[in-house]
Amino acid sequence: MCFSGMDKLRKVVAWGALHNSKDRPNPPKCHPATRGAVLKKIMEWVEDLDKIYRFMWLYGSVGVGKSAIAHTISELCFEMNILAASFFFSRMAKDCSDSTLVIATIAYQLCCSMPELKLYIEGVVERDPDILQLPLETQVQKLIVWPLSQVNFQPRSSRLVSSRPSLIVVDGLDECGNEYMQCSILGALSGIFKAYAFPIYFLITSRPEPQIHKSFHTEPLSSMTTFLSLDNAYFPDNDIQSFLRLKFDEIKREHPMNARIPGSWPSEMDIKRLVQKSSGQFIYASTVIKYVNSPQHHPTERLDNIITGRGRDTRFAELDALYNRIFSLVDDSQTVEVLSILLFSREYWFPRTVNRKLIDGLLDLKGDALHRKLVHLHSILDIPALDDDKTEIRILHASLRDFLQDPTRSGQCHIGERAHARLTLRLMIFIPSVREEYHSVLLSSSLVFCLLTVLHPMHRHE
Amino acid sequence: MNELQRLSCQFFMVHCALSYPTPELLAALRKFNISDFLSVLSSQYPLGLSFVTINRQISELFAWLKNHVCHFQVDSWSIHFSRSTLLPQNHTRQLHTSYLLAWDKHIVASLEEAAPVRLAGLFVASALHPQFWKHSTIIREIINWKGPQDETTRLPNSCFQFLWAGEPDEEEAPDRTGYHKMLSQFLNDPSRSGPFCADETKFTCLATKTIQFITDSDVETSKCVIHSD
Repeated sequence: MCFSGMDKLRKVVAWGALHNSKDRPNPPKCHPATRGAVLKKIMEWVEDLDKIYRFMWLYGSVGVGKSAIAHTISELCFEMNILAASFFFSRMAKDCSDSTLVIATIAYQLCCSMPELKLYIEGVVERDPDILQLPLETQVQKLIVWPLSQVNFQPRSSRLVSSRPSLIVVDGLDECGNEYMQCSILGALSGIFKAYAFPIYFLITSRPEPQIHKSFHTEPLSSMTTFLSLDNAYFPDNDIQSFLRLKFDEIKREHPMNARIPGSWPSEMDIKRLVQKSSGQFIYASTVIKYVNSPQHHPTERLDNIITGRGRDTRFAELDALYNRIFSLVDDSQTVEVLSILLFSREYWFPRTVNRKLIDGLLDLKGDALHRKLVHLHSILDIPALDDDKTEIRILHASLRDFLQDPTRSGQCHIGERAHARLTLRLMIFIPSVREEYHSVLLSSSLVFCLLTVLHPMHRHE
Repeated sequence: MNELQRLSCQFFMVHCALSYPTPELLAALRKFNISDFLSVLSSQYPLGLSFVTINRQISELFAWLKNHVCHFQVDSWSIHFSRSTLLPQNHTRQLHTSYLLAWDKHIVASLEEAAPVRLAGLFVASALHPQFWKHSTIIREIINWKGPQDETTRLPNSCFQFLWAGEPDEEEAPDRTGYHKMLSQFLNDPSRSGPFCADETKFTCLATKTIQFITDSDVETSKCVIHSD
């Protein structure tokens, strides 16, 4: 069977990285009436036909809402027919953190948003199928620069391309591979504009990691980039306050126990305290809301738990205190085991997804045991319905991953080398032997308990 | 093989090499039949892993066994965990030694099954060449050159999966170096590799066959290992 260039290109597209990918259910989005100033600033740059800067770097620390802004902008620009391509990095999914797929994924989307380029891009891939194994700079030259330059030389096509979608959103660059690959991507993208001022622009979001900061402040990027910091200049506190008010109103209307919620709840003081604890981090506010909104608990009690909680004096103090508060309700050691499986599976097992069926099998759970173990974690995990054992169970935000993997923050909840050891022991149970018959006899005999105890003493403690 | 079995074979070594060497884990590893496991990895079971990946995982596991020192008390004999014994600090090194022995036997057995010892020995000796990964196809052609026409005595295509550890310019180059080093130590030690030891006679034979290949064949000399280096 002969595959066309487009067929070959489709095989290396990171489908999960597109802004409207079905692999990104419930992506973070800016709540209406929040982030107005930032969105306005970005759209002013997007819609400026005489823009000088080809790149906008939107940066901020964890949980300030970069991805939510990137997604909102992508959706808005997609509706306005301005979005040419997008790539949402995520360390939680292997193909979405694989730098080798970025250029091919963008090129494929350009074929759709700029049909004039399709013939050239397809031709390149057909003539050189190994192009997708080449360095990023080479891929950019062959899959983006050369097709654009060919179209540039044809007046009619050139006019058409100028009117096509032109914004390319790259979100979460710090979630891509390693530092070297992050800088390589930036270097490759900046190379697009070496010879010609092509009609495409990049909105890139990331944490302000040193290597990314350095790349943007070094030529050629420094003269092509406008910078947008998600700091206090954009009054995140006001937006967080608006968000909290709207969400608390929703809870008072829709929570199963809303009949017992006083009309004056929450107090202005409590909202102010929450805004202060957020420290500009939307992830804190959204996690608080999910925690308070738990259908099994009374919202006023849940809110009191958070308000009276104390954190240490660090940048993530309140977020850590919130996570610690959530985990303090967990009294089952297997819950931490489930978390470690969720964490590790994204990093090491991709593209395999972890669903209830897999976890039940690994941990030998039956019925609704898993749901009972995760009952306190709905504010930090995306847990499918009880009767759905196939949909993936996901960690909702990267900040939780950071928290769990940092022993100075997560303390007893830390997921590190010992978690790997526990998982290794679990996996060893299932390794088949070439003497399968002997193995299955072992499993079915009454000696199993004793043998397993010798092999895996941890079972003695359960 | 069901999904859990496949998952366990695919990722057991990955997670083990990232583990803290807890007493329970070390006890389980001592009981674990690594020979059986290596056979499962080499078998026809559809693991969905390339041999490059498997070899890298093996290299990381062995490095972990060699480098970690167990300070903890381990009780591997008492079901009720009522007694404990302080084991020597090189506890995991003993494990490393026994696992390495199993790996050595596995490689030698695989080679003996796959091809005549003479041919197989030449091929594995050539694996020490730093450009082996790049020229493996032409190396097989050279070794097979003007050999017996009987297919059963020629080098089979897929029997030497343990020699591959990926290209050195890939992102995981350090892992490849680790496996290559492990393989080199095996091939240079006659007490371990036995008839497959990469000794002088094998290199002499390889050189002779290469010269014969260049002289007799129609292939471009730029493909030749000697000329490219």
